[in-house]
Amino acid sequence: MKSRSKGAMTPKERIHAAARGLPSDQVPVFYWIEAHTGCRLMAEYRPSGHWNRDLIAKFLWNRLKKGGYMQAAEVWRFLPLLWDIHSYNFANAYGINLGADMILASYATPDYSKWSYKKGHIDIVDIYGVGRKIGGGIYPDMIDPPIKNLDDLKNFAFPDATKNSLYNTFRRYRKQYPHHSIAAEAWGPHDWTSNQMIGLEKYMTWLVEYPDEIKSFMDRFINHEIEIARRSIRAGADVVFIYDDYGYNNRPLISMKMWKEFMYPRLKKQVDAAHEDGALVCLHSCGYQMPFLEYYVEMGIDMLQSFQPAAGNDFKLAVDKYGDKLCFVTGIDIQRGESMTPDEYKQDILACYRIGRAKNRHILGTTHEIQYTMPEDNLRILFKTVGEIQAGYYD
Amino acid sequence: MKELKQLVIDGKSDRAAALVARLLDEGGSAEVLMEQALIPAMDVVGKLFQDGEYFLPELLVSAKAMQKSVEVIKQRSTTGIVTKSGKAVVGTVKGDLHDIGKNLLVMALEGAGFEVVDLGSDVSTQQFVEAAKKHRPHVMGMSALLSTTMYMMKDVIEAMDREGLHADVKIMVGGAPLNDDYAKKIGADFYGPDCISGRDYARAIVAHKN
Repeated sequence: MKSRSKGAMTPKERIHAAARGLPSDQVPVFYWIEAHTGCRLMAEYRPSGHWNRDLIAKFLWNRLKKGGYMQAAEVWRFLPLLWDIHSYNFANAYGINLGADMILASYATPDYSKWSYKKGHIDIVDIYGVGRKIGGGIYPDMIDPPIKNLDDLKNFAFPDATKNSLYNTFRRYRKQYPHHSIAAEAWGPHDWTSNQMIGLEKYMTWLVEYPDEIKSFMDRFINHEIEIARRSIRAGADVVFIYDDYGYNNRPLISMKMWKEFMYPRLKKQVDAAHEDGALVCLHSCGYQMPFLEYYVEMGIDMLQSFQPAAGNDFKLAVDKYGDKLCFVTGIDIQRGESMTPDEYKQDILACYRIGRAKNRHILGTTHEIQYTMPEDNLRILFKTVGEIQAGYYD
Repeated sequence: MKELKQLVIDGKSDRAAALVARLLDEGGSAEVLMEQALIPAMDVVGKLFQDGEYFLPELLVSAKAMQKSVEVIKQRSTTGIVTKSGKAVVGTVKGDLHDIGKNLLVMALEGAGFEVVDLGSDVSTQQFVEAAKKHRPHVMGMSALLSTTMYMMKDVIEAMDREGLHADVKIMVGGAPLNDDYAKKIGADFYGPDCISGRDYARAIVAHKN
């Protein structure tokens, strides 16, 4: 399907070509890299080329390793995250060193407005008032949602998203990487509302018990997110990357009827707004996606990221049916990849590449953040295989 | 009984709780309410969920109706709730603060009349082992949302083996990054893709032991 010689296009041109179904010189690549993994890769795989950054990465990774990873003191599990948000999402930008065509970055960095360290434990409150804790893991998980009752839901005041400085990440990256795609994180109607603002269980019951109140909140939230996306685009982003997990293993989280009622109109509003501002839209949605595909196409979503085989998604079927209208950002299986042998992993990536290249709408991408627990040989084979694909070994 | 069962299926928690209170006032027994209305109602809800007619919101409002009804029974009954079901210990593994999967399993097991010891989230290997020793459950359920934390399940199973507890306590695992192969690899007895299959497995274990 390639019609142009290798190196003839910039990374950004490749991403935009794939989103529009146009031929490109090589398959575009997207790596989504978790902060601890970023430290590990810089320390043990390929330095970033910035001595100070590599030094910090090596130090943080060695401390985590020395402490026994999950058993390491909370502060050592937290510091890579803190460094990531204070250094303009270094882990994802580092993906460029590995050959990625698109950087994923967030507005409002640093976004943990308050955090404290007391007796070995880290407590965080972000700019939305979400209380978070590192606990025994590596993620700052929500433990105290700001919305506890219907009054909170009605009266919640979103943080001011109009300050120019909140979008410095995009200005910085546009200047530093003028020829790469820069994707700006945003949230769809469901995910942030449920998992961060209200809590999943309460949110799920409120969908049934208080539908009008939830819809009204979502409308306000989506207007807030549109404002963020608009300003991110003005600051240099060319893709709006909307997170909204609609599925889990082999089924949607909520019924399609409910999804069409609550999510569809609000997600479409976000998509339309991003298109009006000249950006592409990439939806990140974890879990089972098959029943949603026709609606993503209908509302004009350009790219769908993750599309995990482990959740029951059939890439071949999806490309056959929707590959002319929807670009899939997938093919590097993070969920199953950890338990494959290196050769199985290589063959799996190649098989996905061959499925995707049947139509032009494919970006070879990870099905989630690359985790620091990935076996070393698998990590090496991942980057080697993708590099070989980019170099045209399998054309 | 039929009305109460339907109210739970429909997730009408306030009305279900009020009806339970009235039935108890009229001389109804807690055991009959559980065995003839509430547990069968959750069985129907579980079937609707597995058939793809109910999803998480419907499942949760029904579970809420069941819980509110049980609370009323607990408040008013002098004998407490006596059911013929088994005992389970459930928790989310160390490092993982996500509790929705674990909570759904707790609701499903309680809805089936199980006595459930909920250890919460971020539960250490030692806590699982101590709970197994103390409560001697029929089954132990472990949940993990993250691929970085699911490895902790293996630690727990190895510790259960070392302590000689695994022979008497069947271990079931579940969570987004897991699958049947992984469950077998770490020595779990059962992988549940959802809370209803976990409940059914626990029931089968108890039935087998009885």
